[in-house]
Amino acid sequence: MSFFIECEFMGSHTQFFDKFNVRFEIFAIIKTIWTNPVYRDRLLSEAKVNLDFFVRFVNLLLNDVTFVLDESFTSFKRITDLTRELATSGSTITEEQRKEKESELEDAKGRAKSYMSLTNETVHMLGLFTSALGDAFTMPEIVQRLADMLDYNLDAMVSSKSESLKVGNPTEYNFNPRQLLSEIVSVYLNLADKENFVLAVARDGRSYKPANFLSAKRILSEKSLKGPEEIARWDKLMAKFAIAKQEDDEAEADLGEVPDEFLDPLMYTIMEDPVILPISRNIIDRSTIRSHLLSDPHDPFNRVPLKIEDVLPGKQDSCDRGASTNIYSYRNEGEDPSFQARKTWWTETRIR
Amino acid sequence: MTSSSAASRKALSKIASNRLQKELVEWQVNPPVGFKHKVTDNLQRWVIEVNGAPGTLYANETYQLQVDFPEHYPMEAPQVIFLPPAPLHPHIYSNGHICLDILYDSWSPAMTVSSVCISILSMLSSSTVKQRPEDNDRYVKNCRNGRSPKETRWWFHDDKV
Repeated sequence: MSFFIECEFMGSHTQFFDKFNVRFEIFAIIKTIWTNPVYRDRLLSEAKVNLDFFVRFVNLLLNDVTFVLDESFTSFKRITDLTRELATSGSTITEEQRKEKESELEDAKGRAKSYMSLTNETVHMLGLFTSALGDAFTMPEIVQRLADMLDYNLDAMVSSKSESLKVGNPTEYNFNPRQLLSEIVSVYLNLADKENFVLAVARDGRSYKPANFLSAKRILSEKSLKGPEEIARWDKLMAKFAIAKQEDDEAEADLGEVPDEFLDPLMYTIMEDPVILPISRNIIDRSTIRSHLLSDPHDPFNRVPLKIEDVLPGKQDSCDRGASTNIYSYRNEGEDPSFQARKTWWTETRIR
Repeated sequence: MTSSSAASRKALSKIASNRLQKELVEWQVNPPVGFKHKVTDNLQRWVIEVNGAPGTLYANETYQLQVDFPEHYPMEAPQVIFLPPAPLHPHIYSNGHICLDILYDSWSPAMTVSSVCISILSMLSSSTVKQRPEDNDRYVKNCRNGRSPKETRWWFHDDKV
């Protein structure tokens, strides 16, 4: 029985992966599966042995959460705007314009309703999965996107932007902002011990705002959404973010202008773990190629089919330094006294 | 990754703006022939002037491309359309949407704004006839509500032009 469901799940999952437009049907299947404790346990033990598969799953879940939250919030904003327009326009618009706006409003309400119920479910799932499968969420190809998404939505909920989410009767859309905020904070807390998650939050240059964490704390404690123990963990996490941010900024300043050959050719970030693509021979950071392969199984430079297992490692034992595949990350080697020599060697190898 | 219109509403991620800054610098040093980037302070939307190549059907004509970048550029393709009036071309719809595989299914993060521009110019240059796609009216009508070309399921039936 469980095996049958598992096959079903795997099959559907691939289908979902290939075809974007069946996402919601598949999502319903996953939801059903989650309510079955026997199956859930299997899923969790499967996750331990098959991390790569789960990274793909987590990637999709993350896409879902990002998408439905965005759609819900956009619909709310549209509702707020339209309601205000209708209320203030009075007789300045024709009957026809009013009708058009009203039907648009109905449309937005319908969207808000359906996306919000999906949002509640997906965010809830994100909470469950982050508590159980922290490692899959903190893989380098996932973690930055997760951190960006959390920061962005936290910003939407607790900063001045949240005004646009204040719809007249949130319950009509199953929108419970406090509950949602509390669940988002839980996701942060679930990953609080993962160093690279903390760093990713601090490195998010777009919505990382310490003030948001404080506002969240204020709301959570005022409305008793989280107990004192969780609030204390939140405080600790905020401090961690601040330290990570400061250290990262300092490290970046210390590095100064990084030569192009140490930058990822697609992202222009410093390569932490450079690898070589087998056919095109391009050097790229492992997290970049992994992230790319999640959506497109080809070498981005020449479109030859490519699997992550096929990339050649850049780093090898130091005794192999002469090997042609031995390349170094700028950040890791920066403090090494023999760094300059290696750098020259590395550059030469690359040109050759 | 999602390619919904929702993505384009969101601000660029740090990595995306970092990469676009680099591309902009590179463009200024080494702009593709026949193109001019109109300077604005908006990194997320570029407007680029295209000059038809000499000796082709579009010689001495100038058009404008609008390039919008999604949150997770370059992992997601930019949205590229012609601003009106769009050139008359068998693969360019009157609403400015362009039927070109690299803008959709065949996008690769190794491409750049500059390489996309060159592909579009070469698509223009190889055209032998100035006309709209056969299904222009039907398609444009379908897109009336400001739909993004990235939501279209494209059929790339012809690679001659």
